[in-house]
Amino acid sequence: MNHYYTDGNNEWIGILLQRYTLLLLGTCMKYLKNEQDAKDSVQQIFLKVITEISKYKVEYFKSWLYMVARNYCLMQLRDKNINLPVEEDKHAQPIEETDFDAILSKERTLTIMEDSLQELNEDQKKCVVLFYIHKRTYHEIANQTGFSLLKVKSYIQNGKRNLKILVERKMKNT
Amino acid sequence: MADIDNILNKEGELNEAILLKYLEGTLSREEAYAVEKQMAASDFVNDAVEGLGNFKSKKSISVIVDELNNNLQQQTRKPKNRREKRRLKGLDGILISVIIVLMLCMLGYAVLHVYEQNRKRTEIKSKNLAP
Repeated sequence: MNHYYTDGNNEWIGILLQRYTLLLLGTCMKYLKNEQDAKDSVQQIFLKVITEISKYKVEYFKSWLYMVARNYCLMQLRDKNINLPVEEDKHAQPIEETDFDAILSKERTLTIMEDSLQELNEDQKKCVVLFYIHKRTYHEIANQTGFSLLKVKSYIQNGKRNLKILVERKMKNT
Repeated sequence: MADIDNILNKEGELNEAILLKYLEGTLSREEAYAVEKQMAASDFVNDAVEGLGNFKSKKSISVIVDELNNNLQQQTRKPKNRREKRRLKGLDGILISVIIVLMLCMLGYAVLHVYEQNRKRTEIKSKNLAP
């Protein structure tokens, strides 16, 4: 991104975007459920990024790109009058770019995290513990708990998100 | 307690080939777990894996990705070429202007030179003709 902001050469954006083609294709496919529509949408997203990125100072490209792709797909669905079911706890801001690494190193944070883990609902706690502490795969967790694969994914994602919120709240209070 | 810090740590970038193998179900347990950790760490990766799983043929994914990447390369190269041509056109204009100015200078010099010579010749003639 720094190279692009220095010389304005679109080839830098091209190189960067290529790393995310597969992720974009998958994301578009998830929302649009049609291979050709997904492919066309990725091309439109590329075009949108190339023409609009100069207007913004993008720090976290991956998160920004995900937001652009998701909004584009939602617009497509809206144009077709398709309403997407609201996903549980799906926030516009992805958790991935929040830099938690620095505070994680602190012993105090780990203690807070252990406490917060106990405050998650039972299903989320079970999946989070099996996944992160016992390092079980989604399939193994599904077999062990009887939850569907989709439920397992959802409990882990949402459990992690809720855990982050709990830890942040506790950190502010202390 | 050391495992707890895995929960909110960020993961590295995902390898495309590994992701495709994950979709085909040909990864080892450890590799599959590593991919799933990336999915849990990123909504983008999670949505993508979910969507890629909906493709009828997993092999067609690579073909589509290659096609998209080729188009992308063309898209990002074209404006640069156009820019370069525009820049060269600009340079041509400057060069032509400089040449015209130089030619005008040389023409002006030649005219002045001829005029001066004629003037000298006329002066000599008039001196010679003088009684």
